[in-house]
Parts: sequence; structure tokens; C-alpha cells
Amino acid sequence: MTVWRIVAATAQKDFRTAVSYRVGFATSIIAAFWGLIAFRFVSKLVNTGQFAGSTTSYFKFTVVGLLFASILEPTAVGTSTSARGDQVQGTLEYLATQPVRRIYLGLSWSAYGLVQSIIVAAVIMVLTIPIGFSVSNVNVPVVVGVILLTIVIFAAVGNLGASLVIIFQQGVPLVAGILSIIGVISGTLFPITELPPWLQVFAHLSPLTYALDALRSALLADQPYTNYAVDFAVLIGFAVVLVPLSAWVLEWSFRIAQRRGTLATF
Amino acid sequence: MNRVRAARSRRAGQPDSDGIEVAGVTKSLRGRLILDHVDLTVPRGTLAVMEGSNGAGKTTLVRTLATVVAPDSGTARVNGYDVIRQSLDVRRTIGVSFANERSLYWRINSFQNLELFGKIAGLPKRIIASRSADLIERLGIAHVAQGQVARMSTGQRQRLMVARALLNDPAVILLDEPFRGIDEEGLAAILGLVKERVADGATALIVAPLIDAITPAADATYIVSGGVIRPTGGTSGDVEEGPDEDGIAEPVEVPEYLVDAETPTPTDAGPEPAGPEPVEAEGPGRTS
Repeated sequence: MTVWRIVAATAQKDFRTAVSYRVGFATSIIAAFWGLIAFRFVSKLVNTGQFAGSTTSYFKFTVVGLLFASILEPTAVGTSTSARGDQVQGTLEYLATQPVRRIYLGLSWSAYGLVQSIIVAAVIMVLTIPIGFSVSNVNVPVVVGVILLTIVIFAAVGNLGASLVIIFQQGVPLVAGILSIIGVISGTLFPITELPPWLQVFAHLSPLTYALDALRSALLADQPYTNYAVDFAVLIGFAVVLVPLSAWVLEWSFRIAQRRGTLATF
Repeated sequence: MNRVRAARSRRAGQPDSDGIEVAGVTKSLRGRLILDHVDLTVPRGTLAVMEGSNGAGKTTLVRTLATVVAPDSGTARVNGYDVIRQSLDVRRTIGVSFANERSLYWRINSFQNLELFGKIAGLPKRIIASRSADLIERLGIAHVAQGQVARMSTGQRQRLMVARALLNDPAVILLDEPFRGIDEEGLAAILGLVKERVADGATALIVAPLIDAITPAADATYIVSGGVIRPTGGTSGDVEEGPDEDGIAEPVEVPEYLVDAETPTPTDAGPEPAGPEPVEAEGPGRTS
């Protein structure tokens, strides 16, 4: 399939580029693991067992939230960062001459970062086991389904960010900022019940809220499939709206840049 | 003042349909008129060479044909496809080299660059491998092709960009300043490859600020003045210069290796290049 061929080829290029810098992969694991160790100590302050409104420990709650966010970050922010990279490097204009739909380019921009972050997250998850992390009765289909759906949604968000980059030569800080806000209000580090009521309204508008709910339940406290129905319905709804919208906006952004003659501008 | 010289392929029997058709194209960028109702027709199987001063709009015209700049008015067709309404079809049939060596990925090597763009273009792996090896060899960069592009000289990167433009065996070749930083050997290699493709029926448009060295390849000359392109006649080896309004057109001292600029045969041009091969559904090819 064309899209996979392009995504794989671009990921291979990004891998080769990353390897040429050598230390990047190792440092990303060390940095992320060190951050989780910090939360291990924070969890001792909160409590050693379950905490308010949750059926699990704060450490487990945080590990799932942070690792999942670490997978989504390169999907969303990484797309616009890569687009900006191609823009500054000078390869964006040439990519625009290639016989492919622009959405394929958009999807390819996040491919390597996504694969790398999944590997890093898996390694860190294993590393956290000796310091208190564990899973039980994992519902694998739900875990896989939630992760895939959320990646699709955040890839669409990333393509919207890439569109900003292509039109305005800016957009990475905006996407990073929005993602940071979404992370806070969606329950990455604490349950959304701790938020003030007005902010909880916004939390329920975030797909990450539903994704984290489902993921924590499926990893830490398996529940019947019917309990995941609302979460999946919301995530599918976001995907159905955002995917075609982002494809259209990305194509449109290229047309704007073509009219302005700014594809080579940075 | 700008000059455009066009060379019609000497190969007989090519269909006389047009590879590039530009009619009344106007383009302004940041409030400045770059192209003013430009008309240009480059028949299929023709090598056209465009010359002009800096900022004259040559690059904008190439970018328009490559679908990365949209004209404000007028129409431009490449291999029969409209650059606005059928841009994806246009991109399937062109091979482009911009005057920007940063359009390569510098942290990977030449083969890896060609592999990436070959895959994006939809070429099968074995075709990418064979064509890459052939182009890199014939363009004289085999000895540096395994190292990072960052370690190559400007001229070597220029040759690699030409290799990338020819990788998909395009029906229309668009080269913007392909001779920047290129020595005589490189110039001959690039011209030889392009003329081969033209002899096979491709159409080529080469933009260069100073083209005297490649004038012998021209069968006809054109002049661009005030955004209007006019043919001035002339034949191969006996180039008639256009109106000499500013004294640019001077007698040309022709390098010996270009005097007989006939399309090389497989025998005298090295290994026979891989012919058009079937490609995947979205892959480009010499579609007529």
C-alpha cells in the first residue's frame, strides 16, 4: 500500500539519521526513566497503596499516564516538528514535488518518532517493575485498540499542526502547548476528579481522558468489555472527524503555500 | 534581459505533441511581478535551455511547472496535465532538481537518498538499486556515494540531485541551475544523460544563468524579454543569437567535448541505462 511504503521509507531515513547521532536513543531512555523514578518518590508522599478515587497506587497511575503521553507526544508534536525540520532543511519543497498525496507525507513525519517512543515506553515499563510497577489481568485487545485509536487521533492533530507550519512557518510551540494542556486536564498525572468542576467539563472534551480511563482499566484492573463502550465510542468519534479534516487541511495548507510561493520559505 | 535557448531533439519520428505548454502565466510574489503573461511551448522530445539574469523569474517558472508554485493567472501544462487541476498527475511524470543542495538529506548517503525518493515515487527496490548504481557511476560520484551527503562537495551534491531527478525515468525533466559548482566533466555527464532521455522521447527544460557552454546542444534559440518568450530561430551547431539588446549575446567558444553533442549511443556512453520498467500503481513513468 502506498501510504505504508512512504511511511516505512521515511521512518527508515529518520532511523538512519538518528543513528548517525548515536547517543540520542540512549539519552531518551535515561531521561524518561529518571523522570519516573522521581514519581516513585512522589508516590510515597501520596500513599503507598490506593489513592482517592482510584483502584490502584499513585505510582502505577502515573506510570501509565506518563508512558502513554510519551507515545502520543512524538505523534502530535513530532509531526509538526518534522515538517518544520524539512522546511528549514530545504527538503519540504522537494517532497512537495513527489507523486504522493500530502497526507501521506504528514503521516510519514511522525512514523519514526512513534516507533521509537513505543520502544522506549516498553523498555521503561520493564525497568519500572523492580521499583513498584506491575500489571494484572491485562485486557490486550482493549489496550491495543485504545493505543491505536489514540495514535490515529493524535496523528491527525499532528497534521493540523504541520499545516500551521506549512502556512505560517510556525506551529510547533502551539501544538506542544495544546498537548501540554490536554495532558494536564486529561488525567495524565492525577484523576480529573481533582480538577475544579469547570475544568472537568474541558477534560470531558479531550480524547485523552477517555483513552487513559480505558487504558488504566485494561492494564491495572480489568473490567467487562461493556465498561469500555463509551470510551471507544468517543475515541472512534474523534477519529472519524479529525482524520479526514486533518487530511483536507494539510492539502489546503500546501495549496496556500503554493499560491504564496512559500514552500521553500522558513 | 533574459534569454531562452531551446534545443529540439535531433531524433526524428518523435510525436510533435508538447511536453511543456505555458500560456499567459502571470505570477507575483510578495507584491513583485515575477512572471508577466509568459508563454512557452517545449515540444515533446525537446531539450530547452533557459537563460536569464538573477531574479528574472526562471526559477519561479520551473517551480510552477513542478507544481510547488501556483500561477496567479494563465495555464501551464506538463506532459498534457494541468499543474493546478491535475497536479498529482504532473508530479508523476516529472523529474526535478532545484537549485538548492539542501533539498537532499545530508546525514545519510547518496544511495540512501535515492532509495528514499525512489520508494516515495513508487519504484520497485530492484529498479531503484540498478538505476541508482548506474546514475551514480555515470555522474562520477561513485567514490563518494557511500559517505554522508554532508561530506560531498557542492558539485557532487549537484550531480546527486540530477541523479535523483532522473531516477524515475521522467517524461519531463526540470533542472534548475544543474551546473552550479560543476566542472567540465560533470557538465558533460549531466548533458549526456539528459540528451539520452530526450532522445528517448522525454522533454527537458534546463535553467542556467550562463549557458554558453551548452549552447551547441541547441537547435533553436529563444529570448525572454519583459516576461515574454520569443523564438529567434537558429540551428544546432550554428546558434543564432537573439536580439542583442544589452550585449549579452557574444560569440561562444565551444568546449571540444560539446562540439559533437549528438545523443550518445549505449556504446559510447557507458553502460546501457535501465529502460522504463513497470512501476507500482502510483509510480511515475514516461506516460504520454
